[in-house]
Amino acid sequence: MEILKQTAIPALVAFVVAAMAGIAARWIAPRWARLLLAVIAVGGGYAAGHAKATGWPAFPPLDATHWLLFSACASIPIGFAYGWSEQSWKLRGSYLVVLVAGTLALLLKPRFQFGPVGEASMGAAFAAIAALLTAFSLQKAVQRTSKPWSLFWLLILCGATSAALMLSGSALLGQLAAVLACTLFASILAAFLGSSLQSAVIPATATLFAGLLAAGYFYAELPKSSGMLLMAAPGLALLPPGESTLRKEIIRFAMVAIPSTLAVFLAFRASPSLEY
Amino acid sequence: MKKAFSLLALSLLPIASLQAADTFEIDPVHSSVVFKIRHMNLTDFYGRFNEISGTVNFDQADASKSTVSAEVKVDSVDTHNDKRNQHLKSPDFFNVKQFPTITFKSTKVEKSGEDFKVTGDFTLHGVSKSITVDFKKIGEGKGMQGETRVGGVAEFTIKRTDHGMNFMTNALGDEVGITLGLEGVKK
Repeated sequence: MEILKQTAIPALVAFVVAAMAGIAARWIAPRWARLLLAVIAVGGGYAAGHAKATGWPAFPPLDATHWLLFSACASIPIGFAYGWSEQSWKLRGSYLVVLVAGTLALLLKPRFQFGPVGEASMGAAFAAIAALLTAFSLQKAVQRTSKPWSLFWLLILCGATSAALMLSGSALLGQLAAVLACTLFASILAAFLGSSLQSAVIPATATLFAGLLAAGYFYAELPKSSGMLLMAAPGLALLPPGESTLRKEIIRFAMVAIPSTLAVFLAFRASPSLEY
Repeated sequence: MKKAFSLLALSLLPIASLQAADTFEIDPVHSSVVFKIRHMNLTDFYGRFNEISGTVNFDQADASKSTVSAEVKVDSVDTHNDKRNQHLKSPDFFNVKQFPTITFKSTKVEKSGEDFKVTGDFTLHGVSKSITVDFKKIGEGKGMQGETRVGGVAEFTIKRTDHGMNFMTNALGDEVGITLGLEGVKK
């Protein structure tokens, strides 16, 4: 109960920051300003929630988990550049790779120092795949429609990640995933209130999601099976392919919800609870 | 000439052995590392680490030339509850996969009557802080196999937030009391 209370406050901080930035974008005309507010909503919202949960860390941080906070900050200019470069897939891809690779390299550096290098490399590769898959699915979703319900699957994915991380023995990582979920929820809510969905938030979302999964696997006790299911789930949001209809969006939601729920179940079975 | 030189060398031998430092290796089987922390402002909770290693180079003639280095394996944390042990090892607290050891390396040793003031760098959770520990020597003697043993205790307090361990400070105290019962075997 205490842990849930502790989770609520940083999540609320993230939600408020993201909601304010997201809703403000509704009344802004210039494209560059809307893009900027969109990336501040996700990157800034996550950073605020992370800082509320752990305090603002020193730079460079000693605890590798805190690289996620700095990655969220870096995602603001990178996400802006990503959103601005609408016509160039090469440029967009480069920005995404820089953020993902940089974050994972810094986050997993201790594992390369202390753990078997082979295992650390495999894990980093899988986390990178998760990030790219998430980014690709999000890009498709944003391209299909401007309706925010096309992103509901993202909420179940982040919520399930939070639950699985809590069950993996780290309330802190669970809190940080909840912060990400609330940030995205606020952005989606802002989209319902009239702000447009911006692809600029994709680098932050994909990187933070993959980073949390990697942290859960390498630093907590997230079971491999749960990690793999959560990693693969964003790819299932691509099914069924085609335009956005209510029926198809419901199916896409279910396609992500099933492996996400299974991941939580497996984490519950494998790991001790935090109540003792 | 040769005889005189040999006699001189022999006469210097006791002085040389007095000046040499004795090296003691910490006996992990007979040493204890216990910590206590305030839980929910209700009681002090005790836990331990089961694996400690290190060496003490002790110069009896000049204690200030002595050195102490010790290392505790964080993975050996033991609070008689597996769930709690795992939680302590997680990123919420010790983050053992990133910071597998707690270390102490002395920078100064001062004799204080029969006891010693040992100043050194205490590294926990990747953060080093200088601390001074009062080490009370309890005794010395021969062990079961005739080896020379010496031992004592030390108690000190640290703040876990000084070492970046900020999680749940509302439920668990910031101050952590550490008690060391160390026994060394002369090498």
